[in-house]
Amino acid sequence: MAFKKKWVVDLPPELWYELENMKNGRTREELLRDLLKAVDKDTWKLVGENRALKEQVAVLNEKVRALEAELAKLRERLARTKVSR
Amino acid sequence: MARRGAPKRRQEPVEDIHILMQVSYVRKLDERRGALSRREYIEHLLDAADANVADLMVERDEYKAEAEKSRKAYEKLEARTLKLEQEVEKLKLIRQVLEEENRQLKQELAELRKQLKMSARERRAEDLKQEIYEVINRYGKNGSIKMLELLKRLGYSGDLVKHAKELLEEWFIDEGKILVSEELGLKVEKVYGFGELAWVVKLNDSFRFGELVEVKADV
Repeated sequence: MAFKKKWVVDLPPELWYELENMKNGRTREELLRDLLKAVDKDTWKLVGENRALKEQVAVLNEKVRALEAELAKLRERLARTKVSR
Repeated sequence: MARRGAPKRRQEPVEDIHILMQVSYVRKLDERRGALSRREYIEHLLDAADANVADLMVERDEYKAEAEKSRKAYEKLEARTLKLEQEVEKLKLIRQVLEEENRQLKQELAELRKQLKMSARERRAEDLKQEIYEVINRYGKNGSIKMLELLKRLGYSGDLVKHAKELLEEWFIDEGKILVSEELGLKVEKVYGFGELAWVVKLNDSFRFGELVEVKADV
């Protein structure tokens, strides 16, 4: 009999439920093995790429919002300077 | 207050999920996940499990387009911010120059006002001098007239003592027995034991009234 070891992952509850629902009578180890078997190299690469892109978009959008706020402040300062002229 | 030794609070609610696996497989799994955390690895796995390549490619293109759009928007905003910053700096400089100009103009204005005030007094002195000279020439004797007579001839009425005091205070400098006004070209001789109305106002220029002056011939 092969030795077994605990592999502990902390997951948000919704992901935990998703995994549990996918078991269909399988153990968690079996589920994980099946999932890994089902995923081919291209899909895995694309998923990684998409996640990175999503993160990049979020960062860029955050930067855009920050710049928009700065721009609004500058416009206000400009208006004040013009008024005081 | 936090209890000593209490577990760290997590940012979002998470649950530990225990998966009992063969030791060799655990090693293999940890190697395969590379730099990803176990959680990220599971998330990737779940994303990949129910996705097909075509959908993922469409999604990737959409993300790329969105990233490009955001990047362009960022660049545009950055350029606009730079331009506005430059404009603000330029306006600041203009404001400084204008403030300096304004300060100088205020200074000049104050100077002009001062000069204007002085010439107004000079003009008043000139008018008053002319009036007094006329009165003395007409009603005075040997270029002199009593203060009471002068004030009446100048058209003053009511409290003449008050008017006399005001006139003396405004235009004359007290030099003891006499009071002198350079501006009006007059002097006032005090009369011992009498008030201002009895004092005698005299022209400084005594030659005009034919006073006898001893002239010594040059030898």
